[in-house]
Amino acid sequence: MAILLIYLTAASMFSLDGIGEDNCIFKGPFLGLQNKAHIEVALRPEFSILNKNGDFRGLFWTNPFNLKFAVPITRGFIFGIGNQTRFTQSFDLYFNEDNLNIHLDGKGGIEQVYVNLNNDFGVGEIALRGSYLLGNASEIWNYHIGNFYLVDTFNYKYEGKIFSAGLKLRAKKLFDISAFYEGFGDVVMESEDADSTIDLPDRVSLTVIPNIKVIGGLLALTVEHSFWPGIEQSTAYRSPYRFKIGLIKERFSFDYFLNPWYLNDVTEHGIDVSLAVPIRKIGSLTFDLGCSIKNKESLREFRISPEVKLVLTELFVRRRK
Amino acid sequence: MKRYIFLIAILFICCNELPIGEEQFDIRGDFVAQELELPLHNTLTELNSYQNLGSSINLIVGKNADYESRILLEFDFADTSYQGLDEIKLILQTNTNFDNDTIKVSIHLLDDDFDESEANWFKRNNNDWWNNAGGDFSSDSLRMVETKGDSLVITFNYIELEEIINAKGMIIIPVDSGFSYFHSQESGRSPRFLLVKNDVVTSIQLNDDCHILTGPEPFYTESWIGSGIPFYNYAKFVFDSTLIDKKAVYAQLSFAPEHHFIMRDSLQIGVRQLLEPLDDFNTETSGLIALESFSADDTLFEIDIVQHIQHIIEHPDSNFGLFIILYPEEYDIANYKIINGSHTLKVGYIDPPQGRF
Repeated sequence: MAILLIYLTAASMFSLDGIGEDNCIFKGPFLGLQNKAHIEVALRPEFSILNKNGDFRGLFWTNPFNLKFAVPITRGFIFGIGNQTRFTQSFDLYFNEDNLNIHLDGKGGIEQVYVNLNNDFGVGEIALRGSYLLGNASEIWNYHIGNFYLVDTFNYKYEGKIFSAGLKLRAKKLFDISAFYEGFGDVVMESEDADSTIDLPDRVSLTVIPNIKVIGGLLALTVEHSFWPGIEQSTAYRSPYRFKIGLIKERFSFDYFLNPWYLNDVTEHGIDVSLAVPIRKIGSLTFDLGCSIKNKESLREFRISPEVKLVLTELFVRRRK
Repeated sequence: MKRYIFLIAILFICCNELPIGEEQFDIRGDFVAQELELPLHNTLTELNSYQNLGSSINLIVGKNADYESRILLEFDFADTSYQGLDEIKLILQTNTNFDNDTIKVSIHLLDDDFDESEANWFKRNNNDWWNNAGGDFSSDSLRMVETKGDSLVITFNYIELEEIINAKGMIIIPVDSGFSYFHSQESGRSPRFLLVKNDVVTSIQLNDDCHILTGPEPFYTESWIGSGIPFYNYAKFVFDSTLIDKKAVYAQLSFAPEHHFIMRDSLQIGVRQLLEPLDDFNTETSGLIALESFSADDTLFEIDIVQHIQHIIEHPDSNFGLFIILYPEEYDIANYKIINGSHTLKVGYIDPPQGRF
């Protein structure tokens, strides 16, 4: 089974462009609550179906699980450490033109390892995050021409950094509001020919949760903007606004989001349905089903990504009363 | 049933290799082939008059103004004193894949033995030449028969059997013009020498069978391809430096025949690339890099030799040219004279992909 998963590793076909698919939209530096230490382990496999006109093709992708560890230190300070996939550069595409058949197999991406120092001051949270970016990616271009094969291989190594800071305020009777800024990010891409420094976009995000009941739950509104540097020189990238609207009802949540990619012409609409199940004396188990459709002209990609997240709380720390 | 349909649908969606999203490749380059024509450097013909045809699946007897082919047979008679036989006969099965002619042939006894894996028109084995090119045999004909129908059956009497046993083998030589094709031992339907006694048939083991052939010798600078006597058409094209670092997508080699001789409806033409500068017929070559089938009456032959072009792109100093051959070389007797100067080579190529950024 493991061999099968490795063999089938592939993600969005649109990640062939730029530095790949941005996997961290709407994800900020906040650690959530908390006065309790916790560990989060999340696995998010992804199944995609490519579609153009009447043709369909399926891809399966699974990323390494995400890990987050957060522990309160003192006076509301929380220390956190974790990882997440930042950009994905995995794809599996075929090209046919007369005598030329190409199979392009891309693997890898940019991983983010972060350290947080947050402060929960009762009615809000201040978040500071520094991240180290690292990763490898390879592209294998298999040409089948007539009766012989050729192969080109591109290997990339990435190393970089990015920082973010945010503020969350909880005005109980009015609203919750949070905002964060991410910037000073760059990544050095080493390839066989040259090293390039890529400036990552600054990102600003604002989330408002008014204390108004809608269908028995709370609405959450998020708007996010990425500023791609050097955009005026490039026609390939854009600085998109993203929107998300969600309904939070106890352990259940539902989100719709609109994500115009930084890559021109790629637009994603998606929904996320999430259910958190508390596990007594352990923590909680969250099931999330994400579905989205990505468009680029007549090309479409349907994504279905079930996520399982296990949160273990206070199992490893005995707190003094 | 529904479960299986679902599984088949999933399998279909997951396992296909449809080029959905191939527009994405445009991000990394232009993968639509550009074309250029490589000029012809040189063309000529190499031939091997000493070709051994023992491995052919056919035994060919016949002649015309250009060719003559004779069949050699040797059976292993373990017993030298056969008594009370009702019938003594030699049977050759006709290969009906060819447009066989009805011709008269004469059977003679060989004076010298031969090795089917080494014999040719001039030599009976690697070390010994025939005293007379085309085989050493008794001038007296053992039998004169006509080839027709699905098989050639020749019956002998006791005296002839005794002569056959004592001889070094038999040779079947054509008397009339025309050609007849029979199955050889290599085809699995070998010639049989049968002794019938009281309805019990004894088959004599065949030791060697082959045919030997003489034929035309084209002028060196003409362009011929041929089988039986193999003619290799050597062709070399001038390498264009535009192709350096490119990827060849196709390479359409084409040429037109001037006239031909062949006794079947279709033919196969193969291409081998030379691995060293041309010396002679035996210049070292690769295996077949292209093989195409054509109708015998085609007026233009086109073969994709992209593998050769990719090879010389990667090794420009190894552009030693090609041998164009009629394939398989031993299968039949055929030739095509190619119009000199009709060789063209159109090469389609793409640039290599660009990396990220």
